[in-house]
Amino acid sequence: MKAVIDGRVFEAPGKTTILEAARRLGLDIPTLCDHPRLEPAASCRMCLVEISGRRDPVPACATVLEDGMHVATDTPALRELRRGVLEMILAEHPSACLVCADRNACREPKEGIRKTVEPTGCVLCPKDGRCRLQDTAAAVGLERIVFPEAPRSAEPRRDDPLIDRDGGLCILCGLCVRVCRDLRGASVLTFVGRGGRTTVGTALDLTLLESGCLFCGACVDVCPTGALLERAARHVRPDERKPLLCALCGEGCLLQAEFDRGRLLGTRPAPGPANRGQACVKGRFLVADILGHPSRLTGPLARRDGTLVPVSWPDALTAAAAGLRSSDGPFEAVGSAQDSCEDLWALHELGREGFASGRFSIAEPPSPLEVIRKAAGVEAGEGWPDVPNAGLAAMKTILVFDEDLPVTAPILGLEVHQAVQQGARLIVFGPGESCLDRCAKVRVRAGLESAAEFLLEILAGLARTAAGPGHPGRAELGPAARMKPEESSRAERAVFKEKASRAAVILEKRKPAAFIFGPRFAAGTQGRRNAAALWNLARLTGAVLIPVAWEANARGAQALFGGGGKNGCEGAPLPAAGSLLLAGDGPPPPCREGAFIVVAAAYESGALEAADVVLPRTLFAEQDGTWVNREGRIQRMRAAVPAPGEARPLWRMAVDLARAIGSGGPSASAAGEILAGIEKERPSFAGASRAWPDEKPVFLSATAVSRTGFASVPEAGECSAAEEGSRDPDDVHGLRAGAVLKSLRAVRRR
Amino acid sequence: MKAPVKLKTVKALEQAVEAQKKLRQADKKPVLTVSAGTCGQARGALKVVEALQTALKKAKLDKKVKIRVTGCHGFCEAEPNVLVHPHDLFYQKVDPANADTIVLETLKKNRTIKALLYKDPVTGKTAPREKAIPFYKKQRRVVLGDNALIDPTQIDDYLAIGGYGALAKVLGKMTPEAVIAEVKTAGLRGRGGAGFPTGVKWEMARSQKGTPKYIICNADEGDPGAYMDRSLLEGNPHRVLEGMLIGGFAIGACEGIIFVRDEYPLAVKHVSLAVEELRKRGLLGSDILGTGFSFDIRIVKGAGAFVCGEETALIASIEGLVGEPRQRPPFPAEKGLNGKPTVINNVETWGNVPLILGKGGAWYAKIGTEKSKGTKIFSLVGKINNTGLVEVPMGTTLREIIFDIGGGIPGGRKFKAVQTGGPSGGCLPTSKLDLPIDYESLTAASAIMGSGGMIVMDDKTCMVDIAKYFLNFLRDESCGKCVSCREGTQRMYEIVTRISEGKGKVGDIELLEELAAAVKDASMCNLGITAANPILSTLRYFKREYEAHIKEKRCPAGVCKSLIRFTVLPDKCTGCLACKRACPNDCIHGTLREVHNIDQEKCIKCGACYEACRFEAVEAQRDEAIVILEGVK
Repeated sequence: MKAVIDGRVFEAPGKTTILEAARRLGLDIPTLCDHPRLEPAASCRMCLVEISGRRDPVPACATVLEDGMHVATDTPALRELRRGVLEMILAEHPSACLVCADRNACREPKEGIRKTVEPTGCVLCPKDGRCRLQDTAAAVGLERIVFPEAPRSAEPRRDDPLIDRDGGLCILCGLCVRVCRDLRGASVLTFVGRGGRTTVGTALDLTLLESGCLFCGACVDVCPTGALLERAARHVRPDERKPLLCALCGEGCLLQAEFDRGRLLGTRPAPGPANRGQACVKGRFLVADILGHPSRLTGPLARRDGTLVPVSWPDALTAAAAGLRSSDGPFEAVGSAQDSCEDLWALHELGREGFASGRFSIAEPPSPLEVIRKAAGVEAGEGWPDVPNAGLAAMKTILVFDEDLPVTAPILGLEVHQAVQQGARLIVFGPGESCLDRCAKVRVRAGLESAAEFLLEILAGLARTAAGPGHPGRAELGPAARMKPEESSRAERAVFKEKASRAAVILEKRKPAAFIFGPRFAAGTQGRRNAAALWNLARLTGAVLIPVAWEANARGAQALFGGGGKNGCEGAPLPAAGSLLLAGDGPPPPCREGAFIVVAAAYESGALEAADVVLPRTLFAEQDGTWVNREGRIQRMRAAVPAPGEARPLWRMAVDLARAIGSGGPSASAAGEILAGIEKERPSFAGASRAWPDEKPVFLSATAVSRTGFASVPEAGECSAAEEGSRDPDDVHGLRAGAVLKSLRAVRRR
Repeated sequence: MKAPVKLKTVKALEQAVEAQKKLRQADKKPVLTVSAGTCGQARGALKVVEALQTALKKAKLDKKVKIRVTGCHGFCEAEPNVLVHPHDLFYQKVDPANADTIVLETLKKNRTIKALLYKDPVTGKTAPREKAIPFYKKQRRVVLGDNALIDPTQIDDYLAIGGYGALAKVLGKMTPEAVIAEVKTAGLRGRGGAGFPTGVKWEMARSQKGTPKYIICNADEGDPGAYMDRSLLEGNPHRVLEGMLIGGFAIGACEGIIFVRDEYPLAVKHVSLAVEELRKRGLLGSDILGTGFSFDIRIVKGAGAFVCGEETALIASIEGLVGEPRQRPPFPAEKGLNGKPTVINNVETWGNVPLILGKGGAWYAKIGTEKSKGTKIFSLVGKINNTGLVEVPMGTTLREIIFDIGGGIPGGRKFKAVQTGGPSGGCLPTSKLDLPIDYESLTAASAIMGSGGMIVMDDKTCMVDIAKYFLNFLRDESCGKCVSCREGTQRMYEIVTRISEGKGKVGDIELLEELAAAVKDASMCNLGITAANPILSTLRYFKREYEAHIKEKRCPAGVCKSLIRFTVLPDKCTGCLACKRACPNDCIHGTLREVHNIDQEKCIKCGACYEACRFEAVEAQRDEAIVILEGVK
């Protein structure tokens, strides 16, 4: 395909729009309603271009470039037309900030007789200076305002958390409506009314909260004017921006942190490889709140005469080293799947080499991946075929088990929604509700204790046709498919039978399929049973398995240590620990009476009550580190935000403690050194030290899973109860963000 | 009544048609045909039917005379009318009270009732036969003419006039390609307005790979004063359905959808009955007549948004989305309903299809002009003597339609302009009266063919006011998706309103022209692209009226309220009280044979007195107060 745009030749295979092609040539066509991840709406009419041989101008965003086309993007007629359209747009938007002769002069505050400087002039629009409409007006060269301003006289609405809406500034580009509906699948914002009376609002004019908004902030980020704004940062202008990797869930979103004189103002999504410009309420609005929460620990504490008192770092380390050395019984270091790979590795080394009888564990229960791996009998050393986000688009069927994806894995959630929009069939199982339910073909409302039963029902249906005599899975599937647990009621079974047979039909016809499941699916007694049944169904249908963990580095922890954590079903109970280094926030592992406990924590919490020494730790954005997201994508990031007080990274504490104890263990002066060590010892982390977000993506090197057989599904109640631990997708190193932060509490309705 | 027989072969259909034809020929019973479309019913046609039935029973003729309740015959002015067969009489404006007379005099004694015959308003001559009436004489009613011959609820009536013969021919002897070729030979172009060649559109859709394919009948007629599609659907639904069946066969569609306004209840009822009937007869469903062609039709009712007449908005509406257009291309023929190839044609276009396939494309191509073939139905309304639906060959001049068929302007007033093509059409002045109407000539004259609305205006019409009226309509009906239409129509309306209120400024005309050009070039769909036409065409032909409003603060036609005051001219007033009676606000003083007087304080400037006066004694003067106010500024 070869075409000419403004006299320059454009050559590319495949389909591109004129706008895309022009941008690749470096030509600037003004637009107000296009978005790289949305279908063109062509509603702002700014990107009109001329194609020779066609009578009327066409919108560049919605017109596909054809072979041999001659396109002109900047002719006198087009300039005139764009000016005309912009004049019309500005009839519905206040325009003082655009054409007033004094608009630059009045930006500066005026020194007056009052003691404070007073802002002058009319530039009170919170978006002034970063407004796409202002930029467009400048680009078009607008000089006059022809029509009297007639903005929609809507009262600004401030009755929602986090987001303000001012209809008076809206130019009806529709980006917010489209991003909310088409990309996020939330369908909260919509056009209300018609023609000149159109406004952007919600159904029945409810608040965003009442309409089911999850406050992902995508609408705020696409709004070209100040009609949708983040309340917290209305009038502040950042003077510095840095990339930041969000570690508040397992998605690994790249954000951009904004600072004003070194103070973190807020974050907004950056076009990172995993999130591609999207985020969720936590990443978009709450990072600053979480990092700067008043309960942050800023200095070390040591127990003197029964109470914790502030001490200096050297004193704290000495006290900790002395306590650890002198206690009897094994030492256990407990990390969290939220910690960076370096932190975990350093703790692991401390546990392994610092003490003769040392060990290391992960506080959280085994991750869903780990559960299914064990259930299927996949060797611990083997890799796992991760599914990148881009892979979801090819799926024809998606089966989700009780994961409110828009909350627990927001990016995966929107990828699923995109896939469904492109024709994938969605089957949702679980008692909870999610906005994804709306586009589900089959919706099974049942508790996860029946998940295995549902899966077996599908298997039974499929096995009749697929796994005929001689089929490799016949032996395993046979008894499972015949199994009829007695505890389920007849009505339940009828529903299952009907829905399972519909699901079976879909799964049989529409391939490939993806199965998404999370901690709830894999937890507790039924977890292994569920996992084994799911594994078998995946074997039978060739589906890919996408385990979702809620912790930021669950995938990394799994790759580093396999199970590593407290094991649900197998393994003999270990002797109780005599001393502990607690970095995870779960309930402490079994330990002896009077054990010596060092706690590395970020927030004040109940865990400190038993602590002998408390060391303040930094959080994700405050330290260099590497995290592996759900996709198996390794992402390295530098500290972006200054650490509060004397807080130090976990890996440094481990190094310092090892030195203070005077034994073996981790030694490093930078996180990168630890990462290099990981790379050496764990082949799957090959290339991890190059995994900066702006470089070529690095994934955990996956080897195909060699185990292809079917798993035997244990009888209900066959495996011992696993410790479940109270889990919360909004937990941040012990800070229950969903309960503690007022705005998040409102969003989550707690 | 016995259950209808399901037709299983093409031959069976042919035989059914022949049988019905013979039945009708053999039937020598006298027939009273009552036109009872929506307009006829509004004028009491159903009461006339009832009265006729009673009268027949009384006269013991109810077994010997047949009453046929049909759709609209087109001549709205004469509704409700009754055709008497075989006497070949045309009785107009029939009242239920006339029923007895018709039965006793005409049917029993074979006498013509003079009082019920059509009387030419100009010559005063009566015309006993339909063919003798000037309104019908110059028309060529190939599509609409059958309305008078059939009861739209009876499929047998349609079969009796040879209906579904074209379908039998197509399914029995022709390939889809041959059907498309025939339509192309005929030169049929879309009757919805834009005039895209129908055969080319079908070919495009046929050559697309995507399946299933759909066809849609656009019956979302929204132009004010236009009702061609309604009349055809009400009066002859099978004709449209036959067209759709043929079209569906030609492009390989599996489903047809009729998108009809919910404000057309009678059309919805008749077409629903017809679809039901077709299913019963085996003409819809799977494997129709054993040919392997499977096709069904469903009816979707529109909520009456004007923009849903635009094809992409219409598709969105059928899909259950907000009725908003999207940018074309891709055209619906490539990506339409559910993203599949879809052909959308207007009711009238579908109605032409059986004709072409029945009589041959070559026959059809003989009617009309070089580039515009066939006939076109116009709804002739406004200041015209013979209001009604007019079907004429393409190339007929406006003068023939307005003066010969329409009978000229009532009250002996002067013709000023005719508005064609609905709200987004244009106003053509006297100088364009001899324009032969086809797609190209109308476009060249700043108007459009549109779906066929034709509003005639006399010299008491203010063109600024007309532009304002249509802009208000468009502003209200703009969906608001694209800026240029949403804001452009609003701003143009504001400027024109300003002008009509005497607040226009020098430069407003230029501003309007500039704005109109931007709206035309920048808008997404045809609503916006043509939204400037009312302005462009009135500015082109009636610029002086705008200037009078702006510079002299004067409305030459005496319509724009803010600019006028009504006064009675003492030397012309005969004191007839006509204006006093017409005044809704009791502000005219005076007694019989005395010069009247208008109380300016109370006058609401409605113009009723101006309209009512037969002696031109009420004058709309320029309101001096405006001029004085202007001076103060």
